[in-house]
Amino acid sequence: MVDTISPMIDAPIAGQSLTAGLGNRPWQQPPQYSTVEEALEFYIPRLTNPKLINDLFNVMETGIPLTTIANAMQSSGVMEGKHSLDIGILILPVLIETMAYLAEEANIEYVTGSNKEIGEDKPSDATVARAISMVKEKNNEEPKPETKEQVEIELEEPSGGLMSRRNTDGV
Amino acid sequence: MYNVGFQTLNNISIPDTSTPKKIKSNSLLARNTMPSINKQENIRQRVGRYVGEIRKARMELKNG
Repeated sequence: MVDTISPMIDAPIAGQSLTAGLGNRPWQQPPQYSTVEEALEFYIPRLTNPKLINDLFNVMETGIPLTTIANAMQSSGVMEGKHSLDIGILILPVLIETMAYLAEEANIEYVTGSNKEIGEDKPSDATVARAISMVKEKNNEEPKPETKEQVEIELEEPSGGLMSRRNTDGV
Repeated sequence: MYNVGFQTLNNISIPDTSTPKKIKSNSLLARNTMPSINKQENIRQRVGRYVGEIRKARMELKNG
């Protein structure tokens, strides 16, 4: 009987991981590069390779975000057994930043893929407009003359305690 | 969409490279101004430093 209530999960078939012997996959072996620096020494020359960089720029120009490209790169590195998944995630920001640098050097338009532009400290136009309107409102406000009632309210009531300050009358 | 690159980029902490000037005093009771032994950076700090250096170079490139 077909269970229609259960969600369709796009997951590996049960037992799929047992189709190859333990340790036969590259990611089941010790990684080739075990530190961030070693992994970057593997990736950075590849990114700056003149033979490969044009393909990278073509991909960037199609509008694929740098985060997606970098993620695909590190995922393939993990699958090839170059480095562990942890190292792959750690080097992601460096890869993204390097690609952004290369793109700007070559005047290539790119999409970062993050909600905020890297290194952009500029406030948004809406924030600037709101701040300007607030300043204008503040400048237009004229100081209101204080009425007698307000002054009376602000006066403190004399304390009746033993240690309270004496009045001018000496009471 | 679940994007690891997006999350790592937004959560990275880039160290501030500008160091504040220290007031030096030569008096006898002044605080010891000997440079302290640099604490070993952890891996996230190292990555943040690398990103900061590349970003600084990129900003210099952008601003001319």
